Amino acid sequence: MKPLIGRSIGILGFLPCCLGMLALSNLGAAVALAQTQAPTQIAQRQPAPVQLVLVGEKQIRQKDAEGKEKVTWQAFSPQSAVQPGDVIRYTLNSKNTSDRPVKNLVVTQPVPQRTIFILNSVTAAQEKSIAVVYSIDGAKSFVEKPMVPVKLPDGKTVNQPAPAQAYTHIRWTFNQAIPAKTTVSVTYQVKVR
Amino acid sequence: MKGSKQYAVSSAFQGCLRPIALAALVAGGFLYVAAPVRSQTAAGTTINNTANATYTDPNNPGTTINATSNTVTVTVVEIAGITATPAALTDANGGTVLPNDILNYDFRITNVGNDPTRFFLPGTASLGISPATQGTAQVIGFQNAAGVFTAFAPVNIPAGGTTTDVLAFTIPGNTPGSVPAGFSLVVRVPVTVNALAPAGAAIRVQYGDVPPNDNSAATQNQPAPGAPTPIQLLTLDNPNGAIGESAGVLPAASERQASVFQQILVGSQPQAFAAILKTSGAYVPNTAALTDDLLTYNLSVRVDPTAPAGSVGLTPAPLAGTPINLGGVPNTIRILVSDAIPAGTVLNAAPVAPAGWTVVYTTSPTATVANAAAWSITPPGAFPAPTITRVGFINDGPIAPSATPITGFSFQVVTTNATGTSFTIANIAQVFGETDGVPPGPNTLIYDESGDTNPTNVNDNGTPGSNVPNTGVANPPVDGVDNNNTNTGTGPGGEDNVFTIATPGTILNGPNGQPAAVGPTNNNDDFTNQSTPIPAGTAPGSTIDPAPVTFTNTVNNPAPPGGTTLTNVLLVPDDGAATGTLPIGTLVTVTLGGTSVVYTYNGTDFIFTSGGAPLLIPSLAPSTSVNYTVTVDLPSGTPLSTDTGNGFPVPIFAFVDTNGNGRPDAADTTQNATIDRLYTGFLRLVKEAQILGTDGITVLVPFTQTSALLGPQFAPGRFLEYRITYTNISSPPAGSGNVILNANAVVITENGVTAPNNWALDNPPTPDGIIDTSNVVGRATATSGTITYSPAGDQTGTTAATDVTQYVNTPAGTVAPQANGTFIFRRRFN
Repeated sequence: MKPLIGRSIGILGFLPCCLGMLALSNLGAAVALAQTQAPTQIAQRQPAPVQLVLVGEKQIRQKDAEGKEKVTWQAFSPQSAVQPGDVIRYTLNSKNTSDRPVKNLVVTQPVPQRTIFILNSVTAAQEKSIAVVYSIDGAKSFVEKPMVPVKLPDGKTVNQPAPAQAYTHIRWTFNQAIPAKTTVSVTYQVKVR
Repeated sequence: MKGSKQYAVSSAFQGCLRPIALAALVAGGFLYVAAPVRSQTAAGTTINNTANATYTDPNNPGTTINATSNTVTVTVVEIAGITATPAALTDANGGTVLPNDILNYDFRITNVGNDPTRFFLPGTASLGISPATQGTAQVIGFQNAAGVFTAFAPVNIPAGGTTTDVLAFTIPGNTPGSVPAGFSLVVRVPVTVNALAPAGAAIRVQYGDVPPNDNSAATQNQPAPGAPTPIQLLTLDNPNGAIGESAGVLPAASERQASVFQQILVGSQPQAFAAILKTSGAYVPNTAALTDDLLTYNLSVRVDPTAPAGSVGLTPAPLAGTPINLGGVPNTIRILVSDAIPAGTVLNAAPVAPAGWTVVYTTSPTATVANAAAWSITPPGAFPAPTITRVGFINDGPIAPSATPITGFSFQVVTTNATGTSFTIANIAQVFGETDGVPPGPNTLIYDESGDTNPTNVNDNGTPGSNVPNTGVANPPVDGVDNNNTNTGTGPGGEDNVFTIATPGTILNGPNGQPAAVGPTNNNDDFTNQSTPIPAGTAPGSTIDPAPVTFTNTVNNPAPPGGTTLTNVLLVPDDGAATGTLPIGTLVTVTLGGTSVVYTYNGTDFIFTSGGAPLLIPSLAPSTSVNYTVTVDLPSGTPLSTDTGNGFPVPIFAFVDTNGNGRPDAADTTQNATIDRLYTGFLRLVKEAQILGTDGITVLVPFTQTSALLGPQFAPGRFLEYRITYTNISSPPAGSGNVILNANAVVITENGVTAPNNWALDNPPTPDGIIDTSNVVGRATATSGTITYSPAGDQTGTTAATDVTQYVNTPAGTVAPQANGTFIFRRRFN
């Protein structure tokens, strides 16, 4: 169920069009606008400034004519199916459709049920200006390097890096404003259990 | 399973499984140890993903705006997956893995796919070169995803394998034969170890076939072959509609296979290898009378550190005591060496025992076996002690195996009851014990007899002999003789030590190496039996001109060293008072050294024919033997011994010719005869036939050799049954030291297509493409040995190729003198 936060008045008809790479979406992205201070703005029919488009792709590994392994990505289609062990790459495109920069963009992605996050598979379009943090507690808290306490055979307890299967969410924080009419992309990969 | 032994087996299948050595036994209940299977995402599950973001509008920096993306959904499809891992390996009757044991090899077959599946289960495992045979494979239960095992009534897997949906088991909550993801079946492959499996042999049972078949990851969850063989272990997708089955058809290329193996080594059973050896020692003749001679016997005992050559599956163990009756107390555990006092003698003094051994005596009758007799450390009276029937030596045991024999056992007898002018003393010793660590039971006795070096009565070829004790009273014709009294006898069981005493001036003449041999009556009718060769196809009633046959005899001066030398000993053939049965014209050639003398038999006497003078031994020193040969050439027209039932005897005398007439007569007191008996064939074959009615039971013509009786009763549908009776007609064993004729390697061949036989041919006057008689399957019987059929086994048909044209009976072992047997086969008239 997609959360519909806030209410939109008069702009329900404006659903962002689905881009060509979208697969099996059963709802158009629902974009909610918080109510603004300027009533005149509310009355205006304006598109939501930031549109999120999520794309899923399946990793295909093949050997080429010389026997070298080649990795390609196959976009999901209505007939797509995965097997346990398959790798999925999710790409989230955040498009600033407005004519002014958008600040403080924070994007949060879950690790879907029945998948395991692949450590170090996160990318960002502009790395220096993007802080990436992770949650291992269902989005209650986010840290750069999640750790878990582990009891050693000698009885001592130490903190060790959390294993991949503990990760529940990834969050990107864009420290610079997104210019107008600009799309930023982040990706990450998971493996089907 | 009561009494079974469980072998701990790791379920890890990533590395090769090392063979389980004997030492790795784990007793206890059944544990099908398995790591829980990691569950995979079930087929049909959807994976959904939605992104969220927050941002601010620079024009309204205090307000956080939320954004949510579209949802991306993808479905997880069905995949197949199978692993095969060792579950358990159990010896059904516990203890060491031994020949004839049944071993249960249990394998765990796990569905590691993400959907319920069927399996194709092979019914036949691969045993490779293991010395074992497989029984019926079974599915005996299942394990859930947590590894918890539930047994069900075992379900047989046919030898060619089968899919699980047709087997009679159901995992609760599932379609019959369907195995949910994460669940396992346990398949049991029972295997019987062969009777002659050698210790150390590996019994390797492999279920499924995925090279390299080494339990590594390369043998697990591999793509199934396009054309699987019946020994390959595979997944097979459930049909749509099976409980829990995700819809859709899994492509054949997506099925999976696995293989697994387990291995164990054949062990060996501990057994003591105890040998007793006897030699005759000092001999004191005392006076000229035979009844005051003293003879000492020496014994030694070995407990061997190595198993005899040719024995299978046995590890040498110490010799421990066995229950005996000692001092009135039954079931006293002792190692017992026993020796029955020889007939004609009396124990003359207390025996001597080595350190650690105690002398015991019994007066129990010799009919009671030694280990059931009543023994005592106290002699019943003064020596010589005529009531003592056996002497014994006991030890508490155990005695460890050692290459060094235990010596120092001895006892002395006096020949109080010896009779005649020469007397043979025969004696055999026994040892009784148990294998250390093996509780005494009905068949555990370790028992050996003296006269050979084989321990524990093992046969000469290393196979186990009998451990049922004899009375220990020496009986040379039955026991065999240790010819040189050096424990070099051959044949089953032990052999007798034979010592001959004789009054001074006596001469002995007998078979090769057996001058003191005694025949059925006395030592003048001891004999050597031999046979001439008989040409093939010699029919009963024929006469032949046999080739000459040579006998070797030994003449001996039995006087002890320092005694009387015999002078001018003659060697001549002579009939004595009896009328011989030799054919007239028989030539007898006696040869000593380079000199031969020829005699011709004229019906009553042997007439000196050529060679100078009768053979003479000028001087025969005490305790000296001389060999000479006798060649017998029967004339043409000699009948077959198999017709007459008799051989042709040639008595040969060694004597001192005191009255100078060249013949042994009553005046020549120093004389001894031996008989060289020649047979012209000694295995008689008699062939008879009977006719049975069409019911196969009613006898229309009983067994007969008369063809005229049989012919009129031939009719289609009736049965013609042939019986071949073979008999060894040579004279039976008697006395001691005689040489008998055993028929070895007897092969009886009945061929129905080679002239004059024609019972498997299609004969005139009605050649109709059908042979005249056909084999009746299963009606060939033989007293002994094997029957083989040509051209192709025990079959029946109307042509030579589809029927039996030749039967061959090979009786087992030898056909002894006077023994007989039959060979019968049946044909149906066509």
